[in-house]
Amino acid sequence: MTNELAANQENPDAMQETSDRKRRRILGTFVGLALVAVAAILIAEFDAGISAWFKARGVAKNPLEFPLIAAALGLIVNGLLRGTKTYAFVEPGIKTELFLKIGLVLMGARVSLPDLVTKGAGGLIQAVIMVAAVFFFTWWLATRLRIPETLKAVMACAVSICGVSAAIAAAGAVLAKKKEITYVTALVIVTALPLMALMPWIAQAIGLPADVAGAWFGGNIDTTAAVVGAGTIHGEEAQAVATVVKMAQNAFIGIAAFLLATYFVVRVERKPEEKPGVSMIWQRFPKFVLGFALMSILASFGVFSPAAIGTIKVLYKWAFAMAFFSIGLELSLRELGKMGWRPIVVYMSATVFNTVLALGVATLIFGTLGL
Amino acid sequence: MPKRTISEDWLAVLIGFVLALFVGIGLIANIPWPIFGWLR
Repeated sequence: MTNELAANQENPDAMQETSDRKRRRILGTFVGLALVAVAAILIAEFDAGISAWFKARGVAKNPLEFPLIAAALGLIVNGLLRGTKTYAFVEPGIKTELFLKIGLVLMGARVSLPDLVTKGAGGLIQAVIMVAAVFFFTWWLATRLRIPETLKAVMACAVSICGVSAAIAAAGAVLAKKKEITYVTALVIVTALPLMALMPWIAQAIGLPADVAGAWFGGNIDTTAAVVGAGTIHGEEAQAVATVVKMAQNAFIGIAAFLLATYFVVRVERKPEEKPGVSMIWQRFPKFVLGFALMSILASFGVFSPAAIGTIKVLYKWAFAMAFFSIGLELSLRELGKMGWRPIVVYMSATVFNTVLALGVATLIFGTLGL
Repeated sequence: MPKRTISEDWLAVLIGFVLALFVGIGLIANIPWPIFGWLR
């Protein structure tokens, strides 16, 4: 920043260019946000219309729940924006994680404190098993297929913890290249979207109880937005369990980032004197989880009336619609061809391993043990 | 990059609580909400 300022003082043309770029970015943010807001209104209208259409034909549960509509609309608009070369302009306004986190904080008002504690405890046990098993499986397979160290770390975190945000945290810890994050983001989305659509359907087909189904979605699907989407498609109970279980998994980002940074400094770069401090665990901790918990505590103490909770439910539905639409917008298939077949094989194998293991662990913890 | 992630988390918490506060004020003062789709 200081260098940029000094360079600008010496070169007025560079200063003009920087300020033009900044103005363009601000404008792009507003246009992007407006685009997502208009899409959310369209999704709400479609959802209301489709539900009424099915209800009129005697189908009580709408099979085309709004996460599917939102993601499909996102994919269509994605194609249009990339086709017209306007994607880069609106990209700063596509804030998938922010929309999702706002929705999750609000959703805390619907989850009672006892539910948060019991499902959260079950979620933590499941998270320890899943994160450790999936992380080391991915690491092992990636080593065998000679994936570069930094890409291996980013992929293992993304598939075992929570997709894009874990990939970003891991990338910061191991100083991965930006193109590796973009690549893993594409992998995360290309696997999460089909899982979001298929898993609720499979859970219903094999007769999984709602809480086991929710724990399965939370333990398996990488990105939190798609976990919430799958839960929403299944039903309200699965949505709450999936969200709590996924947030328990999210809480591991800080620990994973700290351990990875330590491993890279000591073993890969061999500079033990630069070991990161334990404060990194807190720095990387996803703070929105605290917002969710605080909202749940306030609701449990009766701060929100039933009418207020009803309105809050509608508000988080809007926030989620914006997040699901944005996941469709973020998909970039072009990125997938850039690093060859090996990382794709690793990621897909890890996803299959994750799916099967999560089903077993969720059935054991939330079904057999009844947490 | 890590800084951005952290500030985004706190921003989400702030917006979430402000929205919940607006819901409370809206209910107390009986302010009607927009009428799109799910809010009808």
